[in-house]
Amino acid sequence: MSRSLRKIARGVAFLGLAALSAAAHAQLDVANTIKKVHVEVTADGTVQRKLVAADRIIPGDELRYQLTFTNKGEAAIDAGTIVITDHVPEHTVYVDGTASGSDAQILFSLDGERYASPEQLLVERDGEQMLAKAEHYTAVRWVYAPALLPGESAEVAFNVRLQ
Amino acid sequence: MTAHSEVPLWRTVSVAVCALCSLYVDSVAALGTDAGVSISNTATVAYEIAGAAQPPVSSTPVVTVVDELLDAVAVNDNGGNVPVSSPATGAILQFTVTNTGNGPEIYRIVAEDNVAEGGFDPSLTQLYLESNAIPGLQIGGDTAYVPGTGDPNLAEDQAQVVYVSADIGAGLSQNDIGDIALRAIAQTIINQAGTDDPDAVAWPTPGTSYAGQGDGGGAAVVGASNDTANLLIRTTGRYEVSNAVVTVVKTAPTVLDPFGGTTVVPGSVITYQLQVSVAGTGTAEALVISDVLPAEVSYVANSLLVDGVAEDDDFAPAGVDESGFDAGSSTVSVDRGDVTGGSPDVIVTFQVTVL
Repeated sequence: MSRSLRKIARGVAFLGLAALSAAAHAQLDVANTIKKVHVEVTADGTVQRKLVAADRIIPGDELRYQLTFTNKGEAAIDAGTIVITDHVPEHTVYVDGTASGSDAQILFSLDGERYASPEQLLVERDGEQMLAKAEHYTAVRWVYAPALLPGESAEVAFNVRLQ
Repeated sequence: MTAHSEVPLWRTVSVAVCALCSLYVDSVAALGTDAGVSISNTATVAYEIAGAAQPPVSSTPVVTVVDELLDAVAVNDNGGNVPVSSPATGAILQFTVTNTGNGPEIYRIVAEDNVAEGGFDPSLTQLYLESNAIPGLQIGGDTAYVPGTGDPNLAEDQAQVVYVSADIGAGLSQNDIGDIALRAIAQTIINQAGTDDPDAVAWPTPGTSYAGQGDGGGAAVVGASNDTANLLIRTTGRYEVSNAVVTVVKTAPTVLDPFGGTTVVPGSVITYQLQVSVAGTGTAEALVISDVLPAEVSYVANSLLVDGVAEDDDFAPAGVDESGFDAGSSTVSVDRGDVTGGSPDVIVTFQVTVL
């Protein structure tokens, strides 16, 4: 084998390793945590909402899923390409107006396939089209607008109510 | 002295003769997610680097187990004060206890007869649990119940009818009242707090949780119905002394099927008998005996007899003939006017065909 061929072979082997390590260690890490929304009415009638550990959940409780995604790689993730999708868990319904995420466009889905903003989600009832209600959403999607540089992270969240 | 408005009389009669009501019990849909169910959530993220789509990544699933909510509601089914004479034995109050939690739970049902604000104290003699699917208490048919022994295990949303039998003392006056308070306490609370008394210091506040005590392995959480300020798990039934007490006994003395036998099949003719008695020294005013027929049967025309005498079905002339069968409301009505206590029992019979 000539020296040049050996060089190429080594190069191919190196490329192969690089591809493997990319698959094993994704650039993006996503962490999911759950909290319970604790509602307290104080003596003067003020309603206070705070997040507490979700170690006791019973029907009627409001739960918040927080998704934190972090660029753990060494290259920037392209602007507008991070698409986070989460499904409303079985036995729960989405709580209207609770999906949040700065710099992200928030879309919803009724079937887990087509995602759109709330004013574009229609259902048909008795032959008439009407806006879908929040409790009919089955999934939430965030399209994160900025690029995510190495080491940066961002957070999105949504609430559901246990039936 | 006269006694009694028309309203409680009507109610007494209607409740007593509702023949097929039990068919519609327990059809309520489940109220909450069952205890022990796992709620799982996984997010996925797609992204690109330098224009190249990367393999999507998923979060680790977040799995949360639903805890058991300990909640029950006790309801007074009597629709008002239950008229009793003084003295009386075996006066019945009816209650319904419903497990409004999200897991099966044993409930201890406790009745008290010495309710402070309740006027005279009835003398509680026996509790019964509805068990033979025939509405109303049948002593010997329904189960005699002693709290702490054979406490009913209620599935989520399941209802249990409870009868309280009490004796009423002598010498009470017209319109005197006496209360029975009834409460249903989850066995888990009794085990963990060591009491079935909401007035005890050890009684837990709503939101108290007992790790590992819930159905399905989660925690058991004391629900809002256990809040002593709301007293949803407690209810009160009330006796009221009346000098004229109306009782109705409904029986089906004869059944004739299309084959000459006595089975209840479509086409069978059932003869119903209502035996109405007025006890006491007063008068039951404007006594109307009415029986709403269920949709499963059809009234046999001109079959109405009052004390063995035929009563026509129509209500003519209006204002004079107030007895008959109203097809619109499917109701048999017999107007007896004012009936003095101790009068001979009124016997009403009529026939229906099973559809």
